[in-house]
This record gives sequence, C-alpha cells and structure tokens, in this order.
Amino acid sequence: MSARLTSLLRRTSVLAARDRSLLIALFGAIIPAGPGFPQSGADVDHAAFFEAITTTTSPSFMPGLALMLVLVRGLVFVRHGRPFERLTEDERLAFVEGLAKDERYVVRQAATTLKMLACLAYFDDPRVRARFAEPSRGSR
Amino acid sequence: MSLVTIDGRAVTKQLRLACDVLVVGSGPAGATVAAALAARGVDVLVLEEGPEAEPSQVEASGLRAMASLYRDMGTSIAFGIAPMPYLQGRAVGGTSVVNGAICWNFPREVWDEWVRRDPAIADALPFEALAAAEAALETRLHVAPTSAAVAGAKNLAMARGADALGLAHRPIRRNVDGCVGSGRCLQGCPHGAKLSMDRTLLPDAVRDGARIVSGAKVTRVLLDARGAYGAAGTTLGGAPFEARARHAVVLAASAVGTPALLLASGLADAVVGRHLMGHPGVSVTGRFDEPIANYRGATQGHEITGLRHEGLKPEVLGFDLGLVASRVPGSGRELATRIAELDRYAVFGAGIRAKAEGRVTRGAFGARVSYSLTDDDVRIARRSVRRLGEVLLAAGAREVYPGVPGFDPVVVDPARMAAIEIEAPLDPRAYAMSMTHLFGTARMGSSAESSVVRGDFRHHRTPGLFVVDSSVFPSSLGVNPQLPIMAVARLAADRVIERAG
Repeated sequence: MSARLTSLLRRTSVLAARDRSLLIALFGAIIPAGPGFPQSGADVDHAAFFEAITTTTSPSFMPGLALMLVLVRGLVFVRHGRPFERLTEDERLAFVEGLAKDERYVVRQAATTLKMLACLAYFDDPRVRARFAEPSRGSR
Repeated sequence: MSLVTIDGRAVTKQLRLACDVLVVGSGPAGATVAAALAARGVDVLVLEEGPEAEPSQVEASGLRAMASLYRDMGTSIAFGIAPMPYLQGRAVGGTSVVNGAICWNFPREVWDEWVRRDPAIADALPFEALAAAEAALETRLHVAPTSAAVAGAKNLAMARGADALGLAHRPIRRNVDGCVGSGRCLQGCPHGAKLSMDRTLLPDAVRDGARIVSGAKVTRVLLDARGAYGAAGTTLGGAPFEARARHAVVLAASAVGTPALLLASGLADAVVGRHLMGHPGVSVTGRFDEPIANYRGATQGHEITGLRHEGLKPEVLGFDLGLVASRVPGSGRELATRIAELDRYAVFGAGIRAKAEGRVTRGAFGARVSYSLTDDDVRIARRSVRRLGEVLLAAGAREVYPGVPGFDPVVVDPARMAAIEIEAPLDPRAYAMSMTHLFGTARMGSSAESSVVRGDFRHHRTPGLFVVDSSVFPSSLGVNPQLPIMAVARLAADRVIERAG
C-alpha cells in the first residue's frame, strides 16, 4: 500500500469532533427517550462504539460513513436551512423518519446504516440491556 | 488453558518459525487439516490472524463481540449493483466461533453437479469418503438436532408456521454440547457449549503437538524456484514474521482470504479470485402478541427444508438485542415504542443458493470483493420475503414487515404476502441482504486453464502449495457448509500427508 493511501486511510479513520457530535445527535433522534424509556440513543456512553468503528471496521467503512454524514448535512440544510444540531426535537425526529422513507437508494442506505449503528451503540449500554431481562407488557 | 503457543499481539520483534507443514487459517478447514496431520505425527504450525476467544471473555454486547471476533466488525462489503455485507469470523477457530453451529451433510445433488461438470471430481472427492469423514466429524462435534428444551419461543414459532403451511421443517442439527439456549452463538458462546474449532479439533491438534500462533496476519506465500516454502506477514504487535515449512504450505484462509493471498504472492494465473459464489440472505421481521424474545433460546434452532427446490432455505435468525432492534420498522418515536416491547419481535431469514458469480481482486487496502445478483437471484430473494412473511403469519405473527420499498410496509394478510411477487420490484437494491458461506475462488479441477488446484488439492503450478478451504469448491452448496468444508479438508489432509511423507 502506498504511503499516500495509508495517510488517506488514517485521516478518514479518525472522526472529527463535529462528526461525532452529529452522529450522537442523530442517534438521539433515531432512538428518542420516552415514557418508561429513560435513555435516548444520545444518552448512552459512546466510547466503545467510536473505538470499535474507528479501529476494527473495513477500510472502506469510515470514508463511507464520512460521505454519509456529508449527505445528511446537505439534506438537512436543503430542508431546513440550518444544521441538524440546531433543529428542534420535532424537526429532528421528522428528519430521521423521512430519511428512512426516502425513495432514493443512497439516502435509504444511509438511513439503514445509521439506524443499525444507533442500535448497536444503544444496546452496548449495560443499563439498556438490563431492561430486557424481563418480558415486556406488550403495550400494542 | 490457552491453545495458543504465541500471541502475535505481544510480539514486537521479528519472529522466525519453522515446521513440517504450515497451515494458514484456523477455521473449520485449517483446524481439520491441522488435527489430522498432527495425529499422524507431522510437525504442524497454524497461523491465525484473529485472537483466541475464551468463553469467559466473550462479550454480551453485540457491538463488542463483532468488534473483537468478526473480520472488519462485520462491515466487509461486496461491491456491485447493490453493495452487500459479507460476514466472516476472525478468531482462533475462524467463523466456527461466531456461526450458528448449523450442520448439514454434503448435498448429493450438488456433488452430482460437480461431477457432471468435471468427472475427475468423482475420484478427487469420492462421495462415500466425504460421507465417512462427515460421520466421524459429527461424532467428534456432537452434532444433534436442537432440543426443544433449549429451542425457545422463536424456534417453536417457525415449527408452528411451517406445520400450518404444510412445509417440511426440522430442528436444526448443531455442533453443541450442553447448550442452555442463551442465544449468543453469533457473539461467541459464553458457556463453551458450542463445539467450535477452538473447543474441538484445535485442542486435538495441540494435544498432538501442533503449535498455533494467533495475531499473525499472513500477507504472502514465500516462493522460490522449487515452489512454496513458507509464509510471511506481520504480527498484530507490529513485528514482521516468517514461517518456513519443510514439506507443504496449506492455505485455509477462506474464499476471500485465500485468493487474496495467492494474488498478493504473484500467483495470479488462471481463475484465481474468479467464480466467487455464496449464499446471500434476506430477513423478515414479524410482531407477535406474546413474548418471543428473538435474542433468547437456541440462536438458530429451526429450519424449513421444504423450500429448497425453490432455491431458498428459511431458518430462524437469533440476533442480539441491537441487531433485532435494527430490524424492527421505523425510526424516531415509532422505533422507540417498538424497542420498548422488543421481545415481541421475531426475525426469520432465508439463505439463497444464488447463481451469481463475483470476484476477489487486490484493492488498495487488501482484498476487494465484487458481486452482483442475477435477475433469477433477485426473483428468489423476492420469493424468500414472501415465504418468510407467510411463515411468520402462519406462526401467529400479528403483522410482518417485508422491508421492501414499493410494497406494503406492514402486512397482516397472507394473500398480500403472495402479492409481493407481482408488485415488488425486481431490483436488487430493494432487498436488504447480507452474505455468508463463500466458495469457488480457487476452484478444484482438471484443467490449469479453468481451475487453480488439482484433484489432490495441490496448486496447479506451484509445488508444495495446497488449498483446502471452500475456495476449492466448484460451486456453492445451497446449505450451511461447515461440515462439508471439514469433510473436504479431511480428504485434503490425506493428500498433504502423502506429500509430508
């Protein structure tokens, strides 16, 4: 592997602080807190998650994730004229719900990937896992 | 007690090793060859990139288990019209550490296909010899049908649904002993009940004198004018290593890893890396009124055999909490509401015997896999979604979620599930799929023009080099391949022993 490619790989494997903030905010909207549901996807410890995705994923994963975040930023800006972090809670929820229903394959794939990452990070938290030790009441 | 002689994560200075036979990869194929050779007194050295997974140390969190025991944390991608993840283990014991422990015998009809294509296969892999090897391995691995006592609600639900539809089905035969139904096969068994290679054939090999080096990433086969004489690479501690073999180098690094190694070693002749085949899979989620707890009970304990003639095989998918949650519908408040009652959801999957052929090449960062489904494959994927939905509804699911854009997001009526075959698109991008069980990238055959290894598993052009994993299979199997891979490797071991004297 050339030194240039190695250098590029290292750069794309490190998530900038603003990318981490955006991911955590997206996770909070994908899995919001609710009644009987104390932690949102943003409220768990993400240290192990970020360690895992930046050190053990395939070489194409982090550049792909970075592109996905660029796409999300662009879509948010086109729809709302301001960044995701400055949207209201309702706007955030509407945005992530819309992503999953988008007809464009690339957008849909981004929504699927972000949801999977949100779920993996969320259920890494032992407090969250502990809630599933007993049967639910089956509200629906 | 550790199986590992040297843990490469701790090796920071250059390492030189020597042996009679060098085995690259410790999964089902590599472990089988190593155990057979060591039992005959051959000095065997096994190189494995991944770590040893002690049952007491495996992680309950799906995220952490994937990060520690899966290649690329499960994010390896086959690129094509619809990019698709393919899953492989990366541990001492290979994928056997993180698979569902499913055991099928070599399908006779597939063997017949191979022989029709190349009659020499009948002598290279006699069916009776494969069956005998499988029988011996079944005993060693304690292969038996999943007990109803540990099946859990999800597996019993599939049985109920198949019964209602009149489809042949059965408890999955698995290599476990003392399974308590913790539902954690895919994260590594925390009880040591799954009889993966690190619990069976690798300890056998070590008992008979074999050595295992973990954390050792092989990057090339060492070659000189006489043929292959070893392998070189880097330890996970960052040090270069070189392992020399007096008699043979045996590649068992998977249908992606093996061709990648051949290509990186300058052995790019013939069809190396071509003809990649696999079993792509789709899944459908259903919601039940009663707790079904997809994440408890035998991880994959039941399967429907009565649809193999349609090119698909449904089985229960016992995912961890996070993966189940990612497969229930919705995002935002809808997802949160559904997660609050996550134990009501079951995920059934179907593996497809796809006709598509992909390719492994050398990319900028290692192996690059390209793969696109054929139209027929997509048609079977669509039918699989229909069948899975029908089984879930027949099992008592209140609603199912096909997850196919352009079709109903929620289905409660079996007649609507049938309509998916008319209304859903024949576009691979409409189906969320992942792939397991890879084959064919260093095919066995008579001709050096159209295959990579001979009937005796030797590389056509390179003396001293053997390939023994599913790379040599001329096609996919249509069933879970762990046991057939081991049976083929057991026959390969005899050929290697002939070489090693």
